[in-house]
This record gives sequence, structure tokens and C-alpha cells, in this order.
Amino acid sequence: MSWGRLLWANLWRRRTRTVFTLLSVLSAFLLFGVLAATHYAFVGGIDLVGDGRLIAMNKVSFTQPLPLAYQGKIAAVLGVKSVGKANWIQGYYQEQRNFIPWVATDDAYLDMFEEIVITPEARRRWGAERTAAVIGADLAKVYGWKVGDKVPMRSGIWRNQDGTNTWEITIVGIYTSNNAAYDQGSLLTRYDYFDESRTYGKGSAGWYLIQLEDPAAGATVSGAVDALFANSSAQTKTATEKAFSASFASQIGDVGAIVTYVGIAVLFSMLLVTATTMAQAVRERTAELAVLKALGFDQRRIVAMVLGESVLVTVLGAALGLGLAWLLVTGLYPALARFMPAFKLTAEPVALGFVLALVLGALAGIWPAVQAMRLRVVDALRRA
Amino acid sequence: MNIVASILEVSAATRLGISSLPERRGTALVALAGFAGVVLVLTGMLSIREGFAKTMRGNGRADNVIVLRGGASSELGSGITLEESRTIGAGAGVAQDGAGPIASPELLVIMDVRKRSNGNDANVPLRGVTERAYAVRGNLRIVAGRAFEPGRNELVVGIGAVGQFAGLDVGDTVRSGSVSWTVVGHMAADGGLEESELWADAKMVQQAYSRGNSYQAVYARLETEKAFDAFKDSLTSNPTLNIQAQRQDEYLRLQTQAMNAFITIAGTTVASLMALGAIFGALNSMYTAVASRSREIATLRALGFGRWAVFVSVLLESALLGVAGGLLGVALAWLAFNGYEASTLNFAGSFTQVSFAFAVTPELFAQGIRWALVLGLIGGALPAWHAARQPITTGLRDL
Amino acid sequence: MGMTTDTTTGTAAPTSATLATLRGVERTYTRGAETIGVLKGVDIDIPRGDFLALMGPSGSGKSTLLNLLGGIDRPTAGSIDINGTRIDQLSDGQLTGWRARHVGFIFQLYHLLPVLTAAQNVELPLLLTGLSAAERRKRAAAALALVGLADRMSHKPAELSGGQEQRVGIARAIVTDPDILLADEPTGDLDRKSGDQILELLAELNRRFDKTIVMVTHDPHAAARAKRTLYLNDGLIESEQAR
Repeated sequence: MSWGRLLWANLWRRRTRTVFTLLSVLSAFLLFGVLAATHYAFVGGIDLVGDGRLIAMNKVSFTQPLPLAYQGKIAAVLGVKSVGKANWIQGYYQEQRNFIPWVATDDAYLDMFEEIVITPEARRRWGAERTAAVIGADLAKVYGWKVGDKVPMRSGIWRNQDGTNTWEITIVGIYTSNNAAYDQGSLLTRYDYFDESRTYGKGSAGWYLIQLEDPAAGATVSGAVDALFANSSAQTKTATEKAFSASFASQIGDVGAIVTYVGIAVLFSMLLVTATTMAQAVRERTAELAVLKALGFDQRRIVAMVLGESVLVTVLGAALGLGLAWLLVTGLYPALARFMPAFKLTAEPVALGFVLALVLGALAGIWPAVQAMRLRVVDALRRA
Repeated sequence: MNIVASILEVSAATRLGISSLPERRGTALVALAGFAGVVLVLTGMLSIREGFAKTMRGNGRADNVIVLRGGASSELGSGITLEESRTIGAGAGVAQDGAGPIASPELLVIMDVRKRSNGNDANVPLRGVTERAYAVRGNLRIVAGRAFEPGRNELVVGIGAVGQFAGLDVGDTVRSGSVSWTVVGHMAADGGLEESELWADAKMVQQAYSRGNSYQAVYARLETEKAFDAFKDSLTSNPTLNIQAQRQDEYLRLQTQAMNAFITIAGTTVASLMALGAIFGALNSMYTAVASRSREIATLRALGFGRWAVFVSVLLESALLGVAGGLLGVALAWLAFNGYEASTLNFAGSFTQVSFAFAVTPELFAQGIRWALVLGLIGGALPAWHAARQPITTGLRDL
Repeated sequence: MGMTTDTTTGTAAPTSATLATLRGVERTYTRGAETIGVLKGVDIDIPRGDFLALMGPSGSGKSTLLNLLGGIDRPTAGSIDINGTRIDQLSDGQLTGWRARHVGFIFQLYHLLPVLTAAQNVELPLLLTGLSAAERRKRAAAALALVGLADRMSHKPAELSGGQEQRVGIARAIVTDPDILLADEPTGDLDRKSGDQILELLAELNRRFDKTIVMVTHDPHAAARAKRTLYLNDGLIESEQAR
């Protein structure tokens, strides 16, 4: 027998109670893991966006267009490698509730995203066919679309010259991503096809995407671009993609705060459960602890035994709970990838979870450990 | 056994159990706190849904219609010309007042304004309206300053937006692109969506945002709710018009659906996982209770109390703890969240910020207590069953 | 978990005929404003290899005396010297370490850990020594064999009879080879036959291994197995009887 065996044997003294406590801790950490993945999906995914690109949009708001002439002017700014234009189309398939993020764009835009991986054949057809469309793998899965399919796609904003709000597109490629957390649910079509046939807003772009020569030069280049149009009727607001994502995420609300509050409530409940279990365990074992003391177990060992048992419960529960959370998140990911491409349980919250388990186990065990320490052998044996 | 005797038996057994509660307050309090925690989180999260829905749908009326361009998902993606707006105003069944048909052509654009809570720019809706907008709503009140004057770059700001965004006090100037707007008043609308908006003269908004003389939506009041079909037919049968008409309450309900579903799923999932933990805590508590009362239970049984009386008494005690925890949970949720003001992006509709206050409604109260009761019953069932099945001699031998 | 080595009491004591010397030992308890004298000045010498029974009515102070000898209680006045160590002068921590090395306790209710097997229970005090796991197992097995339970090594206490449980308790007390064995009513919870076997075992330990044993009992039949008996009454030694 070893100290570990002694701890382990004591843990299972009241099997049912230990199982219930473990399950209680497990549920808490399962929730912790799922919350962490959700939080990451909303906020943490921003970190995945590269620093190498800038977005320039109308200073008034993103719904105001920018003149087409800006593309060439921005391309001439020092430090700019290439400039792509884009227009938001608010796509949907058949019915409005089948929303599809649809962007009309050009070669430069498609080429500057190393995250968007398509076959050379798809890239060739994109350049050759006016109605060419590239869709994300997740989107393709939802509607079962394949390369070569012609799909009538509708817009919640724009109207086609033919009097409808429908554009027929030809799927020439299905993109995947070298970055698993990158959105694979979008639709990209050619700007020229869209711009020629729309009834209003012709000759304008929703926003420009700028690829930098040097990712570190973001601040300088964005300043130079904004200065270029400072005195024109359409002023620009230029910032890194990451800054735009962060600002957008913050518009949803403080998801981080909500997650933190819920997390605190959950962990606090768990602390209570574990603490009472330990208090009960110590109360039941008064005589045993007294005997151990009589046998010569010193205060340090007694405290270590009680704290060790408490920490063992929380860490074991955390390991099981986080493991289950990982399985759950991984299992749900295919279904959620289209809405939350960054729904992942990363190493950081897992590590934090274990630290919290340690701390909570220690906190839950402190009072019972003090009780055990204060125990006087003679009194305890007489009571027993 | 008659019913009165049964009730007396159960109540005696239950009272005995509850009278020993103070001796095991530690575990009982944990069970109670567990239930309270679940209900607090559930109620807290759903109070966001209720508050959001209240703001979004509060002013929706069945006798108001919103007319958008055909195929447009929301006002933002819509477009309606001046002539079209006049045709719509002349549609069948539109109510009239002294100033003509109660129909308001409006345009909705987005203005970036700094959010107080995090200092970031947020999409704030700027609505360009005419005098008729007040007549269609019917419940707008200027609560500070005055209404904007036509022909000037003046803003009236909803009181919800005033709370959420910086620099919208009466007298403040808001710059957007090359145009400066002066805030001249604040408005209230019974907690409705308009309180999240900035209002200005439609002509000035068209100018500032280069919209010519086009609008995005026409809001109109119908003579009665029933006039809707006639109104809709009169417009859709007109070959020069390509529009869609919806009742305002229906339009707002659709815009709230996605958010509703999201918060409901998120809230129930989180609460369910927490509930799982709480049930195990409760099981521990009730098993301790049963164990510490085993002698008492055996004595009761020896005296002739039935198994089921013991079962019901343990279950009742657990249910009681559940309800007490539930009450505590909803009370805490009400204190912590009710009226808490926040704003979020309305994804499904205008893509702009909606300012709302968390609302712990009576329905949420009832739901929270229902949850706690069910959790209490689940946590108590197994221990109650064990208590009832315990042989009398085992319990007495524990002496 | 680390091991502590006690430097203050670890020195080898000079070998003399007397193992324990108690002089003027008093023990009083305060209950509220009231002071109760349980031991009122006791002088005892316990030679090595003694088998001493302590008898007396309830409240006479015999159990308190045993607790003082074992270092789980402290005298209010007087000195207790065991094998050259003034245990009344040790700190709590030192006393704990001293107990681990020099005393073996045998309890009326055995006080075995229900979650451990017989062998593990016996091994428990050895966890406090620097012995290897293999050595610990070997010694525990030897102690169990000595009390006649070699075939019950992996039984849990609940699977043993009362007499067997007490044997495990005795094995646990002797496994560290302590200077003195202290038994508090070791047969108090056993039937006559099992009790006799336990007393025989204690007598044998005394006879064959020269173990010094102090045993509290109120059973004259049990006391008759000791070499001598001290009668306590009201906190004082009333008489002594040698066999």
C-alpha cells in the first residue's frame, strides 16, 4: 500500500456519495467546456484572422458604397500589394429563411485569401465564366450542391434587370480551408456579372480588401488610404480585418461577460457540493482520523489526506467533464460549423479548467481539513 | 385506508422529517443553493429573450402594415420611390385623418455611434421620417427637448439609445461623414423599438446618404385589422408596383424568431447541464437525510406507518427544498437582472443595435419554480424509494 | 507526501531496568468554572518487560493514565519519562513523531480503517517510516502471521470476526516494534472465548518477545493474566497486586 492507495481507498468509502459528487463536478466542467467553446466561437475566433489584410469601407457606415475608382487609387498607395472589391448581396435560396452569405467579388480578392483553397481547375473556370461561383464545403453539404450545378440564387437587397431578384450562378468550385476555424459557408461570385445586371448602385463597391506588402505596416497604410480620401465626398475608414471582426463581435454584446457570470455561478455551486461532501466525509471519519493521529500521523499528513481527497474528486471530475465536453464539441461541430466556424475546445480553457479544479478542490477541503487538524485524539476516541 | 388517514399519516411523517432539517442544514442548504443556481442562470438568460422580445414586438400592431420592396429581407435591403410611396398610401383600407392617409414613407440608414459599455463603434439605426410617422405609431412622446424641425440636420433620439450610446444628450453634435447632426430631443415609445432609434427629417437623411428622393419602407395604419387583405390585394394587383406587405406585428415577430430560438436553446442547454450537477448534489443531500433519519424512519414503520407514507414524506421534503431553491433563484434573478439595460445587434432584421432591458416576467417566475420543483422531485425519488424499502430491523439495529 | 524525521527524540536511550517513570502526575479538566481532578498525583515505575493491568471504577483515572503514557494527552503537572524521553516536555509535533516510533495502541473497538484490507491496516503505521514498499509489505505480513492471521491478509474488517479484528489491531500495534504497547479494554467488546485468545496473545508477546504492555481493564479475569495490577480510585493509586 502507498499514500496514493490510502487516498484512493478513502475516496470510495461511501461509493454512492463519491459517485454523485463526481457526477456533479463532471456536469459543471462539461458545461465549462461547452461554454468555453461557445465563447471561443464568438470572440476567440478573431485571433485566427490574419494581420496581413486591411478593409476599407465608407466612413458613414458599411451600408454606404464607395466609388469604383477607389480601387486603382488604393492600389497606388505605398505598401499595398493588391486590392480586391466586394459587395454584400444578402443571398438566400428559394426562401428568405435559407440565408446564404453571398459576396460578389473579383480575382484579386479571391487570390489574396490563402484560407480559401480551390482546385486550379476551379480557379481557371472562375476566370473564364461570367456566372462562375465558388462555395464553401459546409454550404455545399447543406444543399448537396456539386461542381457544375446551376443554381438560381436570390438577393434580399438587389434587383436584377430582368425584373427579378434572382441571379443564376454556376458552381465551378467548392472551397475548403487550410484553417479549420475559417468560415466554409459562404458563396463567392464574380463582381462583373453582378454589377452589369443590377438595377441600382452600379459602379460602386461595398468595401475594398487590401493586401499588405508587409503585415507590420498596417497602421501606416490604413492612415495613408484614409488621408487619400479625406476631402472627397465618400471618406473611408480603414482598419485591419481583425479590428473589424473584433468591433463586429463586440456589437453582439458582451458574450464574454455572460459566459463568465454563468461560469462563476456553476463553479460556485460545484464548490458547495464538494465542500459539503468533504465536510461529511470528515465528520464520519472522526474516529478514524483520531486513530491515525494516535498512530503518529502528524498534522501535515492529516491535512494532506483531507485536501488530497477533495482535490482528487474535483480533478477527476474535471478530467471526465472536460473529456466529455471535448467529445460533445467535436461531435456537434459538423452541425454548427456553418454558423460558428470557431466552435472549438482549445487547450487554454482545458488548462484553466484543471487549474480551477485544483483551486476549487483545495477551497472545498480547507474547512474540513482544519476540522480534522483541530481534532483532539482523546476527545474524538471517547465520542466514538 | 381512507384518504384523511392517509393525509394525516403523510403529513406526520413529513413534519417529522422537516423538523430534523436544521440538524442537517449543511447538506440541505447545498441542495437548495444548487436548485437556486440553476433557476438563477435559467431565468437570467431567458430574461434577455423576454426583454428583447418585449422591445422588438412591444409596439407591433395588427392594424399597422409595413410595405417593402418585393424580395427584400428587411428595411435595409429595401427601396421604394417617392411615387411608389404615394401609390401605397392610396391603397385600399388605409386609415385617414385630417392630414390625409395615415401612411409614412421612411428610410433607415446606419450611423456609427460609440457604445458606452465598450467604447466601440456600433450600428445605430437612423430613421428618416416625415410628420406622418408620429400618426402611424400613435404612442411617441417627446420626453426632453423638442421634435426635429424639417429642413434641418436635427435628431430626436430614443431614450433606449441615449442610455446605450455616448454623446446623444440634447445639445450634443453627432458627426457622420461630412454631415453634423444636432440632438434636439429625446423620445419614448412605451419601451418599443423606436426607443432604440435616431429620428431625423427624411429629406435631410436622403441628402446626407445620397439617396435622392427614395425611401425604404412605408408604414401605414389600416382602418381595421381586417382591411389587411384588401390593402394587400390593391397593391399586389398593381402591375407597376413590386412590393410585399406585412402586418407590423407579424414582421417584428419574424425578426425576433432567430434571437428567441438562440437564447432559448442556449439558456435551456446551460441550465440543463447545471441541473444535472444540482440533481447529484440533491441526491447526496437526500441520501444523507435518509441515512441520518434511518432510525426515525424505522421507528415510524414499526409504529405502523406505511412504506408509501415514508416514500411520500421524503419526496415532499425534497420537493420543498426544490421550491424554496426555485423561489430564491427567481428572486435573485429578478434583483440582479430585471431592468438591466443592454443592446445587441438585430441579426435577423435591420442589422442595427436594439436597446432593451432584461425582463424577468411572471411566466419566467413560474417556469423557474416549475424547474426547481421537478429537480427536487428527481433528486428525492431514489432516496425516498430506498428509505421506504429499508427493512425495519436494519434501521432499529443502528441504535 | 514527505517524511518527517524527529531529531529531538531520536537519540538512543540508555538501557536501564526501568522503561517508564511517572512522578507526581496530575491531570485536571475544567468544565466551565469547575475544575475536576482526574489524576491527583501518581507515581509509577514500569520496568522493561512488564505486563501491567490498570483497574479501578469508572472515572478513577485509569484511561487518562493510559492516554498520558501514550502521549495522546498531557499531564497538568508532574513528569513522565519513557525510555529516557520526557514526553511531558515535547511539543505536539514532537509528541506525534514520538508516538509513531515508540508506542503501539490497541483499542477496545479495534478502530481499523474499513476501506483497507487487514494487511493494509497493519501496514498503515509503516507509511510513517522510511521503509520501502516491499519491506513494508513483508513486515505487515510477518506481524499478521504472528497474530495467527496469515490467511486473512486481504480480508476487509467487515469480513472478520471481532476477535480477528482485534488481532489485526494488535498486529498494527506491534508492526513498528514499539517500546510499549498500550491496550484500552482490549477484550471489552469480545465474548469470553475470543477475549481469552486475545489475552493469551498479549501474554505471549510479553513472554516471548519481552514486550512491555500496559492494559486498562475492569475485568478481573483479564487482569489476572498480567504480571501485576494497579488499582486506581479517585485519581490515586489505591493498591498494587503482583501475581
